[in-house]
Amino acid sequence: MARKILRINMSTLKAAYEDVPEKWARWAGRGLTSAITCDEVDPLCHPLGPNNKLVIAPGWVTGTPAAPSSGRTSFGGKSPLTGGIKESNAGGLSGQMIAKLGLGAIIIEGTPAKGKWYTLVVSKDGVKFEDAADLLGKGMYEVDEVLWKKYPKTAVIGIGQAGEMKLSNAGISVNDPENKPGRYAGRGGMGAVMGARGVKAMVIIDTGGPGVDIVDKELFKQGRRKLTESIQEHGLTKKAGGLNAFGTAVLVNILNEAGGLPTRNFSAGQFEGAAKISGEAMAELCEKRGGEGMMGHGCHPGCIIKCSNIIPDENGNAVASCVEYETTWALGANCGIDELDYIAKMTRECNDIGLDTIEAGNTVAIAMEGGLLKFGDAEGALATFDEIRKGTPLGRILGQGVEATAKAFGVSRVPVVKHQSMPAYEPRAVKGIGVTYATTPMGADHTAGYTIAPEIAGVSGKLDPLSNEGKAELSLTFQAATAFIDSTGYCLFIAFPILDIAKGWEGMAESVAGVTGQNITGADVVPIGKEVLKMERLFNERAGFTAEDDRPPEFMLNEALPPHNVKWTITNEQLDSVFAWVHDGHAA
Amino acid sequence: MRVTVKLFATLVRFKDGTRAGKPFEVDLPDASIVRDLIDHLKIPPEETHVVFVNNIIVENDSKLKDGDVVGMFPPVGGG
Repeated sequence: MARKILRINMSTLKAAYEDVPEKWARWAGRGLTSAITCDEVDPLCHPLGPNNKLVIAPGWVTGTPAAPSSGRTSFGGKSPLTGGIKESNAGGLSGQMIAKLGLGAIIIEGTPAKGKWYTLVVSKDGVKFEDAADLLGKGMYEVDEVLWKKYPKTAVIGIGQAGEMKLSNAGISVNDPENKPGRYAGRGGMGAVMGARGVKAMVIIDTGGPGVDIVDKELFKQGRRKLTESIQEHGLTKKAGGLNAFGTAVLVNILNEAGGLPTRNFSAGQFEGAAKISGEAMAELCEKRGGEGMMGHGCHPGCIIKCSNIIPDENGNAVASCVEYETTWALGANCGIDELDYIAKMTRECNDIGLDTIEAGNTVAIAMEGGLLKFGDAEGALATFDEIRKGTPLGRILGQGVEATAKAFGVSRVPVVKHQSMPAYEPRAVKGIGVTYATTPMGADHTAGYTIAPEIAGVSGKLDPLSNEGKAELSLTFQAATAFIDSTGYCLFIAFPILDIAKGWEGMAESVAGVTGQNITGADVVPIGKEVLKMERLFNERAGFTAEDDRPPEFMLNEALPPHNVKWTITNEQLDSVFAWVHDGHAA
Repeated sequence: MRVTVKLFATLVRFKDGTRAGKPFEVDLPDASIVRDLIDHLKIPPEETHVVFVNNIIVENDSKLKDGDVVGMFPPVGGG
């Protein structure tokens, strides 16, 4: 059965299935959320107004049997944080279940009567609109628990209090196999977009769904095998390798060693407490405390990398899953905090209230620089989250993220691009990632073009992180490959093995070709990714973005970053070269 | 010469009693290179993936000098 689009109208409380039109037939995941957003969302609309939509799409291979680590769900629309197009994707249970229902995408549009909130129960029989009054004001731990009592073993997508308040740092939670929140489409305020549609939660029931059509089963199996082997062979992604044993926070020490770990609101590149908040420290903690604590946790069924963790308290009870690299950095090094227990508690607050941990940690760091509290004040930092949960005036400022908080506290060192704050890699010390931050249509985002692979991790060759040479081309290639991978439904971490092992790259493309019947080989990955990027860049242009929006923040040109004492030195011309091709053959 | 060494992630198993990032000192003959240090520590060469000397990523044939601080990593990554 061909994929369908499920369109849910919150004004009329009606849902309808539509055939996937020819113009969208090629796309899935990010490619599809961006295509639909470009076609149906006015780039000049208010992100929280009636004309924005929330588009949800699993990837090409998501929901197919045993495609490894392929459970991603893309969430798209216009971002309240950046004002541009947004695709934010998450693991957890939702992607596979949406795909197994035979859905290419779910489009949520319209606005219910004032004060009305709904839980959308999506099954093979259609959509049930349940009054969500009893869930209002509740955090995601309780929402997940309540909904599983009624609908056990389902995927739950939801927003915490931050999304209800339509704060720009509100994310969308997806439950994990233990029915805990924490798999977040965190970036860009998509939780506020869901809130603006009056949707508190969605329950996805895949029972009896038609499943995912596979056009060429042999080709799919061949691709799947090559990709699986490459993941199992690579030193980083194999069982007991770096990611499985230490999680993504295995990066803390290497970025610190490279002088590229942003510290105390991007004022230094090394943190003296780095080792204490690293993946190695988390593994020691889990080993020592036991109980529910574990490394090597999988965020969705069928993951063979398993880079997640469950951080326990001193009694072995789970505090939060997952404390990622970004999370331990944002709430740790960037705030001058070296206490893992506090970082885990703050992670739980973010997962419950529904906040992106990157933006949240950066916001606390800005508040520290602005004098609300001192760098290193872990107790004070933890308390700020209660302000957001309660929606106090201070909490509403903090919940808007870095830029609003910097204005409220008179801070000029504001590490944002396109109004979105930077992740855990210092652009002055790792130049390629700075090109990605500056030019990606998503606002400062490391996942959009992860040049850290060759610049720091020694994956797909080795490049000097401090050098400007070739970084514009490098970033574009990574951005394009990423736009493709984000459309497949595969976790972006398959990039590490497939960049180093040729059969993995081929296998990824073959598995997509096998599912879709499209003639896609490894050579098509970057060109197809560029088509997605072009759509997104053109949306942003129509939304009013210009070359001036593709710039790093001013302070990075003026302040030298220790320990290498380096400034941002890539020229604006180099930045503008990254996407110059978008207008090839057209008037600029 | 004497250099300071820090091992990370899965490499800590090659030095008894150490933890990730805990520095220890190693004496080497003058004119030693990074590969000599790796051999000295009895780490299989394929296990060290990225090596820093004084916060700069170097190749295994880079020369070491007295007082250098060396950080060694297996394959690491994430996001």
